[in-house]
Amino acid sequence: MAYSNYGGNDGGFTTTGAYGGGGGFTSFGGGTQVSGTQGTPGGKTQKSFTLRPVTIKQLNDAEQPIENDFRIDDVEVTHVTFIGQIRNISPQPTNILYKMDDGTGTIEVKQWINPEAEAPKNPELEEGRYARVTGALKPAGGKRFVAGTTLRLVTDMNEINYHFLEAVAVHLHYTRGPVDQFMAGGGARKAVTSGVDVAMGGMGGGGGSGASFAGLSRHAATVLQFIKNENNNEGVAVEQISVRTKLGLSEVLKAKDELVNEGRAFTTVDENHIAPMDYD
Amino acid sequence: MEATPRINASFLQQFENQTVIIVGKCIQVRGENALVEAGGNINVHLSPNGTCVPGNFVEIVGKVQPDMTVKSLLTTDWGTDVDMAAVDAVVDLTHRYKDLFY
Repeated sequence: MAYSNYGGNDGGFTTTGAYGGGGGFTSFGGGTQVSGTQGTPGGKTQKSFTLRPVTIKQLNDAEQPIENDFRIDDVEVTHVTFIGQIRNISPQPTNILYKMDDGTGTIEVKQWINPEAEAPKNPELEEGRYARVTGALKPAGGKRFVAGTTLRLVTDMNEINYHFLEAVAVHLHYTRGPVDQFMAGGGARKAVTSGVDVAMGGMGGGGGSGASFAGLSRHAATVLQFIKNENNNEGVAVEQISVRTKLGLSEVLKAKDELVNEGRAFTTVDENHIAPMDYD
Repeated sequence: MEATPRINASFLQQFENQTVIIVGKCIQVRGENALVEAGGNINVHLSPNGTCVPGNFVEIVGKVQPDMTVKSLLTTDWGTDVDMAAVDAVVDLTHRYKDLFY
């Protein structure tokens, strides 16, 4: 019952997952990192740029310790994706306002209109139809709304159920830890690496378990673990990594290229220093 | 704001007089009465413009009556290609992790 790749249209959000009838979750992949992630300057809190699948109730229940900062399961959240039925569409001068209902609650989605460009015509989006929304959760007075980046008509109704399964899986990931912690090694990893494989690194909160390194080669995982432990925002020199991990310099360089290409690490002061994209 | 939890036949009693969402297979229709299979059989009173195509899956937003039938408010045809295992899983998780759903 594994399902694959939904939402090629909504910003590269990719999922893998399988729900075993009675056996609980066997695997899941989470939100892909949205572009624009930067190395965090020393000391500052990590800003979450992950795209999180949620229910509308989770958005309405999200804690808001300070303006513009929302947290779900005590994890900062900005970009979200959900599926709901369109209850109402009202065109405004600067935006189109959609009222969305997914059975867990309702929330307003604003899609801004660029007056320069032609109005975003999406005649398929009609009241009563299901749409996949991707956007950012924003405060508005005491209320909150989603600034919609994309709204896409749902044509395969299975996507609705898969979305809810995924929202639960991500919730459990944050509240109970990665799946690998509960599985006897092999099974979980096998499931994660089959088919459309998504690195789970963007999720944060991995806690150093195997799940954070899904999809990486053994050497790349070793190097990533090492530079995470070093916790040095200026980056770690490849020579130092080589000495400390007892990997040959050429292996370290290969691992470095892999980590940079996968978006898991970036080079810092020069091409020979790397730092991880996020710390667990 | 009221949530409409996703349920199936085994949750009818628990949600008497509440508005719920049921996804099931439309078995037969007689006038405004439809028989829908969703973890068991459910009798549905279709609203005037309600749809239930025998053989197709249908999503029903409706209110659970004291006699455990469901009065539909809104029906959506889901076609024939529906993964009922995923539907059942969502119903199960809805009530297992209520905080996310209602």
